[in-house]
Amino acid sequence: MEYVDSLTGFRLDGRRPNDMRQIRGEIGVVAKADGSALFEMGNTKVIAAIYGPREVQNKGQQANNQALVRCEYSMANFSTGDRTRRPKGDRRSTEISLVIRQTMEACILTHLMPHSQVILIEFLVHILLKFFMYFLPKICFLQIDIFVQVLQADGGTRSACINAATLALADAGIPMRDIVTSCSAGYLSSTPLLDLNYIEDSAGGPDVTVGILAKTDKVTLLQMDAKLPMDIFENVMQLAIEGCKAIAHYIRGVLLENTKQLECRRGI
Amino acid sequence: MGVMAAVGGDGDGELVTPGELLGDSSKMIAGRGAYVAPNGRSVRASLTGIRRVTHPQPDAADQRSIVEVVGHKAHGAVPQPGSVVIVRITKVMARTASADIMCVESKAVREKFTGIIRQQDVRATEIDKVDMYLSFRPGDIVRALVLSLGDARAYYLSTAKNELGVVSAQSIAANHIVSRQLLTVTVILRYC
Amino acid sequence: MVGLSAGEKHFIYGGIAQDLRTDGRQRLHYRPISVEIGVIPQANGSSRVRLGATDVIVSIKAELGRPSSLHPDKGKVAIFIDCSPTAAPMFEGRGGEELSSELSLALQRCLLGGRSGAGAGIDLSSLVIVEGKVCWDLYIDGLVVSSDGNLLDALAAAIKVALCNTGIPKTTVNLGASPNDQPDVDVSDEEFLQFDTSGVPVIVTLTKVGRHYIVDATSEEESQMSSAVSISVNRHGQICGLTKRGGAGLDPSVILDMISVAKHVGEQLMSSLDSEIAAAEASAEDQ
Repeated sequence: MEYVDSLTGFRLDGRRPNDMRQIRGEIGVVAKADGSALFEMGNTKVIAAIYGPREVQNKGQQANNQALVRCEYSMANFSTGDRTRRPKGDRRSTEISLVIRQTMEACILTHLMPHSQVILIEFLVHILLKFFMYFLPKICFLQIDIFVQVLQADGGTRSACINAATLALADAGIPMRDIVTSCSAGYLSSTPLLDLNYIEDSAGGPDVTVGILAKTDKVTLLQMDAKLPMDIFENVMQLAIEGCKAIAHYIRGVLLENTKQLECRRGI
Repeated sequence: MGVMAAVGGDGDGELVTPGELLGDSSKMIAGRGAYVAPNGRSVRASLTGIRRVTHPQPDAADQRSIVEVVGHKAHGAVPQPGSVVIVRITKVMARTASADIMCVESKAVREKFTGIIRQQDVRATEIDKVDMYLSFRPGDIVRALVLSLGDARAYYLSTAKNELGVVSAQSIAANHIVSRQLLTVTVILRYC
Repeated sequence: MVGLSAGEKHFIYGGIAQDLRTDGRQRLHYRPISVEIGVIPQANGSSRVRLGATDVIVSIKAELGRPSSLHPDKGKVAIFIDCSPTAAPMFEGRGGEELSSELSLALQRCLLGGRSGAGAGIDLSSLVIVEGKVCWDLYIDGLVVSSDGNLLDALAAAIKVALCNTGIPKTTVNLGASPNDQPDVDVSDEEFLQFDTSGVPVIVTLTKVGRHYIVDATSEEESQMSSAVSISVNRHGQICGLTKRGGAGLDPSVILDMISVAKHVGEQLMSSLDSEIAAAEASAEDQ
């Protein structure tokens, strides 16, 4: 199948090789969550909701001296072209949950959450030295839950989920090192292509998903399947990074616009 | 991109997003909503909001200004001396009553703050004759003024003004004494 | 769950007794309802309904299937509801399954009628293409995106809207030579048939809090309920299904009273839905 028209250079959906699909972000779509956002990349549409920081629910998961970040990825039954009823927690969604969690964990300032506070408690019972009263610091452990829900899957769900989670985390006011954005790129018909859609994604060519910290210019996520020569890989990754930067620019605009609106409302 | 025009020379009042460079750590101290990057040199924003710079006193030891990012909902309302708060009485003792602060001005607080109303702060006149047990009972909703940050545990509160006092209460006969405009200025003075 | 203090509970009870609820509504008033159609382009029909802070998405997909041997003249409809963890952290993992299946069953009961398919809100015989051989299987998938009480009413309204928006592809059938052959069905990509949705009911849930009952309870109000009765009413004022939840007993006369109230409220709900659908269709056409 011809994925890039040899005459015009256009892709199946009419984009040029280094064109991204239309992106759209919206903040505050779930009223009850602490932070939420909707992110669309073409027909791919995901919702992210943040609950927390709140006290750790399951004490066994408590991490060492920093906030615990958890993530769950779920796909709606109707999100794919063929209707499938998939069980919760299958391998693919567990893997994506992990990828999102690790990527977001890297950008959240987990060690200085605004609410983690040291509380002094009286520690009375001590078998050996029962005449003394001990004051031991008790650290209030916190967790942040990231829930991403795919409403429509048309390629690049991983990237869309990370972008939505970034917006939602910023909306929840969770301190972050930087804005993380993600975008994918592939290589089909001897052309590097930005932001693959479902048809291009399932063509079997290499698919490089990149996540970057936009301001500090660092790659935090890099995944690729299939094989690719070194020099071409460099080009494809560069293309994906350019895509990430464009998304970061857009996300920053959404955040600033949202803050401005909040300020306006406060002013009235 | 919709960035507001910078007010003042050092970008005060500018809207920033996480990761944005706020300044150099040799000239700036990271306040709330800001952090020092791992390289130890640059100060960056960790929240979305407005950049605020506080310049140091001329005689301060550290001549660096403090930069913070404010204006986001993450910073829940925090009681400040002089702000009017709505509290719920939790414990009444002979000389003090302790209370949980629920709202600061019109905003609900996100974290728990405790306050204390001392005997001498209940009313303006005849302060020595105040009977705490006749003035408050646990569960009362009270409008109060924050006097000071108090001690490590609680804010000091006062109800010694006409517009302050018990707003909603339950009488001993379990009748609810309130208006449905619970938190408006309507004050039912139970102490007199 | 919702944690309420004694004062807040009192406030809710008192407000309901005085016919002025905490958000300023009367006992029998719905929250503002907003409707979007065609939110899932891959589906045959879809809708998103927001009722205050409650937000649900329903998608309808039609697939070719075989009618069951017991009812060769009827198509099949299945309803699945999912509670997304975005709505509440308690739905994480398998946490939402109980509520999901409760909602699915209640909707099936109210919309699909009995096991034989008689009395269904959707005309099942219109789904048959070749009797006993080919029919449309209708999959109704609901997703709770944000939850602030009264999920059942919101889901039923969303299903009704989505059905109005559903187009079933037109089919042409080439019957095989022998009667036992599986017939060839050509599905058209361009021509779609609209559904007759006049019989699809809406659900009105009356929640009893204290001595009074209210419609469209928020999650705070639901946490204070003693029992709730969900009544599905169609356009002709007929009762299509009924579910009671909550442990407290109800006087039979109260139930009859509730039904007549639900009938009245259901009419209002249906007319407001109709105007919302018309507005949504108009705005969809503009785009």
